[in-house]
Amino acid sequence: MQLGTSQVIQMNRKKIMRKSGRELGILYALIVFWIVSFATNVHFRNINTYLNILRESSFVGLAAIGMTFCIISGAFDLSIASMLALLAMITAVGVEFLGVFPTVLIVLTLGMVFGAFNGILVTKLKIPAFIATLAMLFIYRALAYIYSDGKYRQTMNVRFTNISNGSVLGIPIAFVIFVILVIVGTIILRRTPLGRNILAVGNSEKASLISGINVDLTKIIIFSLVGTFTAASAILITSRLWSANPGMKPGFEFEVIATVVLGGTSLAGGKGSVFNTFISAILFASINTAMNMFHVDSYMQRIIIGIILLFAFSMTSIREMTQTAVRMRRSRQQNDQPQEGNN
Amino acid sequence: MRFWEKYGIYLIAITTLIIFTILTPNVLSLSNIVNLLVQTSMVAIAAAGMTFAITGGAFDLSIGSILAVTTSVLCKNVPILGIFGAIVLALSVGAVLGVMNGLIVTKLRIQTFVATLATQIIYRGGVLIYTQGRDSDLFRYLDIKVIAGGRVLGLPVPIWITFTVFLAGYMIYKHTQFGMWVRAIGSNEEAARISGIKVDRTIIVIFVITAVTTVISGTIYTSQLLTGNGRLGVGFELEAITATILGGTALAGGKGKFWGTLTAAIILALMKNGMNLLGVQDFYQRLATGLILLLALSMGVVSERIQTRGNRATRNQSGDTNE
Repeated sequence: MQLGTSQVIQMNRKKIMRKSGRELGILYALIVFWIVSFATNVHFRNINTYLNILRESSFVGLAAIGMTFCIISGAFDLSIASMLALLAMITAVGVEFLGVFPTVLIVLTLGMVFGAFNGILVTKLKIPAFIATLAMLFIYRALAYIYSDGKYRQTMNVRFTNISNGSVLGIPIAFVIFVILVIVGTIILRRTPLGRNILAVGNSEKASLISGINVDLTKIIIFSLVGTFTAASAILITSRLWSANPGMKPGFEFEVIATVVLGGTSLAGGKGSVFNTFISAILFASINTAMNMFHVDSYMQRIIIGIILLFAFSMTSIREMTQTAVRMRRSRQQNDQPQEGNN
Repeated sequence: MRFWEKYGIYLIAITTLIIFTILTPNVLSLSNIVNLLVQTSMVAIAAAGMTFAITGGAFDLSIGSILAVTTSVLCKNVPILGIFGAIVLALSVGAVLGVMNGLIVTKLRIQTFVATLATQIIYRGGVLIYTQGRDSDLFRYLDIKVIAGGRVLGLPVPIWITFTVFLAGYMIYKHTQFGMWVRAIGSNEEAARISGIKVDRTIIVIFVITAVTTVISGTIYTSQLLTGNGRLGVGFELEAITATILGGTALAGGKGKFWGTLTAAIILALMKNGMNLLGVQDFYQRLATGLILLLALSMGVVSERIQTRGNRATRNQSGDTNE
């Protein structure tokens, strides 16, 4: 009996859902971390600490949603830190002259355009994503400096700064935005043809091309998603700081990539989930907060973060190694038993 | 495509040189050229190591931190061990950090890009703890200035060092078994493993090479500045990678271009130097760096397109060009 295409798709979808459900290690890690912190540090018994963690997680987290798509498709975007600085400058200037709502719209659109430009470089000029975005890292940063003439920019618009500093029903507004966008991102990845194409391109670009997926267009959309989410992050960070400067957030791209990879998105592409990125962002913010609460030296903090990253990155291979070891032992036992029977 | 791949970088070098000569004749003065080459040496030497890494399909993002380690180790130890002893110590520390990178990549099986991203953070933290965040200086040990300022046969020492490093690198790459292994691993790691190449050991050696070349760069840097601290060298890895890739080393691995790397490093320094002479603001200099990188990288595709259009027979093949 042959299965209909729709049945196959449904089965695959079920399989994917089950798989993504199984990979919740990061969530358990977060819960364990919170329980341990709760037990050992008095500051972690205060609800405000958690609210603060959630707020702080949103800034990196937003950009990480976009980067999740990018890494799933098997590419990197190294330019986002510079892009963030440029967009933040535009935000800070725009809020003063145009008001909040138009600025947000303009900045999000600009982010999309910048991202699409990255995408065009990668697809049409066929420059590998790594170096295309490396070049754009220089260019966006330079544009940020040129646009601002090297000066920082302050904004006194309270309606704007409320976005990241205010709360709704006790929950930080920034986090509410983060959650909404995580849901949107999950829907894009799991429920739309675009998401399916992104996963397919990440699995095998050649196979996707042969099966009729417009790979170039998909990639351009991916990069413009990265740009848009980076723009959202830029708006929130500017709002949080009440200001922007052209040299801000160097190394932001590495923070974001680390968050995504810690969330279990495979660097090889084709696998990943927005939800895990979300949890991973919260975990990162928790770790940073906890280290401050425990008075860890700021230099030591870097070392700890680095070691956590190494551990997270090697998780996949450790899991694989144990699985192979178990499988080998099992097959050896199976091989041994019939031989004994024969003797 | 072939022509561009082979000679494109030299064309760019000559074009930039001509443009800057027209704009400011001072570029071509002997003292400026010597000065330019000295400026080149720091990035160029580290880029030589990076050429090995990228040829072998690896990235080393930790070299910026290793540069900071070098300057700090030198500045703290020259008063104790003397110049020679301190340099030996810095080289050994670099080698150990390189081995650590290599072990993490091969034994924990992490991709080089993220593994060295993590060690970059760790090494930077380590050096900041070692120096306690303070600067240390060598203002009372001016003998070390010989490395950056001394002259042999009329040429400054850094130029000789650069030339030696590149010559040695090229010889190792072309004429030794190790060089062949690096190329083989870069082309196809699995095939290399199956055909009996000691992949893990080769990768570890690659990381030792990037670390040691960075220590050499760092030594020149220290002797120029006479100070060391844990915050130096941020973004240094990107400069070295830029020079390497601009020089024509394939990002996919398997094909390294030493002289291309050197030329590219000179182009980048030339642009900086020329624009400084012209009084261009730093902001626009960064813009130009990014633009020339994009231009150089897209030229290959553009020239390929032109050729394909000229030759209809090859048109069908353009569909399955592999990356």
